[in-house]
Amino acid sequence: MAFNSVSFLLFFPIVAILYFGIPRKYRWAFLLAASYYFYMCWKLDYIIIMIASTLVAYGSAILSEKSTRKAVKKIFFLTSVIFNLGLLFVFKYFNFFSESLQALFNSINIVCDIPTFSFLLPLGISFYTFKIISYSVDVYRGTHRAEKHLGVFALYVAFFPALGAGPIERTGFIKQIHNPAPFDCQRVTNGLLLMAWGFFKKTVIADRLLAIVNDVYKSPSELAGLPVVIATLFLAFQIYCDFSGYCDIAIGASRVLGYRLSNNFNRPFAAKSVSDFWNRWHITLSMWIRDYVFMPIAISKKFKGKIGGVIFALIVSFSLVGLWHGAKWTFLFAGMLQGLAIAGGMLTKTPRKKIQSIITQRVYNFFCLLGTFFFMCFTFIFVFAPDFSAAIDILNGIFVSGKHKWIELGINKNDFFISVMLIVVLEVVQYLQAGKDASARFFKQPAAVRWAAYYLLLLGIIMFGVFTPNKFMYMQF
Amino acid sequence: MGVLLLAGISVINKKLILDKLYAPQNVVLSRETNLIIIGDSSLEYSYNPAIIKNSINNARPAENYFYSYYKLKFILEKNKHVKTVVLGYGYHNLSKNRDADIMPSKMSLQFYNRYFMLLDATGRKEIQKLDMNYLFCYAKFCLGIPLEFYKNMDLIVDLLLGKFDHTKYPFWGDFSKDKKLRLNVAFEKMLDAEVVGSFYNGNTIAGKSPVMSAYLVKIAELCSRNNIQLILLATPVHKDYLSRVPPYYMELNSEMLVFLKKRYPDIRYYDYSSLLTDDSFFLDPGHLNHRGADIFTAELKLKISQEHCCGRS
Repeated sequence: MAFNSVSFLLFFPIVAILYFGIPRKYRWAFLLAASYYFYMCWKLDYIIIMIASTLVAYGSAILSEKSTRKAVKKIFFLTSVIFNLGLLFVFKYFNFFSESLQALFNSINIVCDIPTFSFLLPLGISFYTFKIISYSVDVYRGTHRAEKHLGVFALYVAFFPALGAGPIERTGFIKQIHNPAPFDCQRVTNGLLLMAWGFFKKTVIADRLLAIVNDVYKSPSELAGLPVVIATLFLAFQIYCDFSGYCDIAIGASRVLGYRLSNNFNRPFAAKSVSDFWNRWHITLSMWIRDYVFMPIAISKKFKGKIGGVIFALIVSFSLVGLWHGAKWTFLFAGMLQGLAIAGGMLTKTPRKKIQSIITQRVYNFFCLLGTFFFMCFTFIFVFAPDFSAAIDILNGIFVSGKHKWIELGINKNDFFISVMLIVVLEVVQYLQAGKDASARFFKQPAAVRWAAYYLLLLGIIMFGVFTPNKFMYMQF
Repeated sequence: MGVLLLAGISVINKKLILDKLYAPQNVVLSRETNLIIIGDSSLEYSYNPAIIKNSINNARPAENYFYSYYKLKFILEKNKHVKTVVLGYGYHNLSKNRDADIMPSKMSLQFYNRYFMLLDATGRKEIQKLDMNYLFCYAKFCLGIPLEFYKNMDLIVDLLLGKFDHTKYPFWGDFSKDKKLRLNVAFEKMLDAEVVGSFYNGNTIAGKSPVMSAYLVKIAELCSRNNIQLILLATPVHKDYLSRVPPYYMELNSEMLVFLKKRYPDIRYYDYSSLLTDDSFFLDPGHLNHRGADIFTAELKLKISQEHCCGRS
């Protein structure tokens, strides 16, 4: 059940109404049932995988906490990590590795037949596996107590708003499940508004841009030049609106139910460097990688925080970020590029400071912002393209001058102007949202202003939404 | 308050915009246009209207007889000067698989968005199932709720400026002149997909579609009522495709033809399915490329002029 489906539009209000009608101490059970139902609507039998992951992580954490011997603790901890990463590997990466190995053996004339599976990737497995691993690590490190209530822990793993594509919540979220918030009208309104904004981003902006991007990218050599450049710039906003739209709906839905999910975005295209970008884009994944991959490597005994170690940790971390997105070489490459760019930023700090002293801060910031945006557009090509040759075709298309009449652009003129207008609206709204207490300020406005905003948003979705259902991109990761 | 607002907007949208936008008087073809080509992609790719004067190719991908009937009815309303209608009549056209586009499915929204505005109550009943896509289009076109309003903006601007262009209608077709010669790319795979998609349901023959048969008869009746010559046309297909057409469908087409001829003796049938044998004329097993289209259209022109069936063509 996708957020942008009619079934979700029926499912969510029913769940929300029933949820507040149930005594607080049983709400977890209802929400867990709703979450499992939500998951089973996608594929019935794959619920077993999630339940198995939950049970192993739950049991291992309790046993790990109970045991006094460090080695035994470690065994239980590793059981959970290996089991869950193993599932992730089998479903997501096995074919990638076996096909890559097969290609390698073929290239050196070694005859062998490495098997591949034709499993469907379980929905949200990358997200809930990371949740489980962070929980296992936190319990092993002793920063969190093992959760004794199996139902509460199962809900932590399966909480439906964050199930398909995050945000990746951490162990602290369990506390919220133990203490469900009472009904609060303003919070519910706030949540619904955020959900509507998420739907707007997805159906009005992302899906419109996707149609343009797909039209141009399906034959980049035929529509070389300006159309490919426009499609590439639109692609950045498409991916952003698709994913942040999903997160807004997830956060909004959770808010309605009384839960606070972590923010996953903070105006990423206002970033002035690649590292700044990753502090603003898919923040929960960045933080997860920082805490559980980057930091342990960078401050390990071997590297002790030395620059070489930091760079190595960066490249490993971002390669993992790339691979987390999908089992493809293009993802790995895009991830490594991020790591290299951040490392490059660290190594060029001194010369950049010199440039900064020559020109004004504003000009410097402007070029940093532009440079970061173009770099991200470049790497998004590798995220979107099915393989390297397609990505190279697109890149070639950018640098070849082509036809420039609207009629020949492969882009509908109206769609183009609507899209540009929508991107401006997006940036303005985000600018307003970024201000201090934006939400409180909005709710202090006269009722007429607020209701006008609600109606405009809903009418915008109705009139300008693209209702050909497109999947959320990150639900496929 | 919100519901009232939406109702008000919907009424305005329906009465002042949609009813005016999708009205038959917007489609007035030039007086010289006397031949209309209608059907699915097999005609879309094979008939080049530049070769036969005063004709238009209005075929659209995957358009079945149900939609063709409503489209034709809409066009003919204000174009009584049309003398001939050429309708695609391949072996796949009466297959049960053609019903898929009027049934609730992932693809149905695409077709509803294209043709729903043309349907009358009978047509809507034909596709009415408990289907969200149907309800979505019903709300959009019949109730006037401005869902996906932006799709009409081009037409609205044209209408306001008084330079309405009916070829921008979503159901309006055209000749698709594909310059690529793709036949060698995974030909066998394409052939399998095309044969299975057209004739089989799993491993068994899909069977006959009563809906398509009924609407073919309705098209014949519509043409007969308007004194229009109906030509049923089987376009050239690749020899490998032809060899894999189940005999069931060949018999079905013949039987239907006999039935139609009995009822409407003026109907003509041109079978060009095996006209072209060389691979270089095909885009894929069921479609011609631009070279094939030019040769086929020239051949058709000759045939039509020999039979003097469409005046000045």
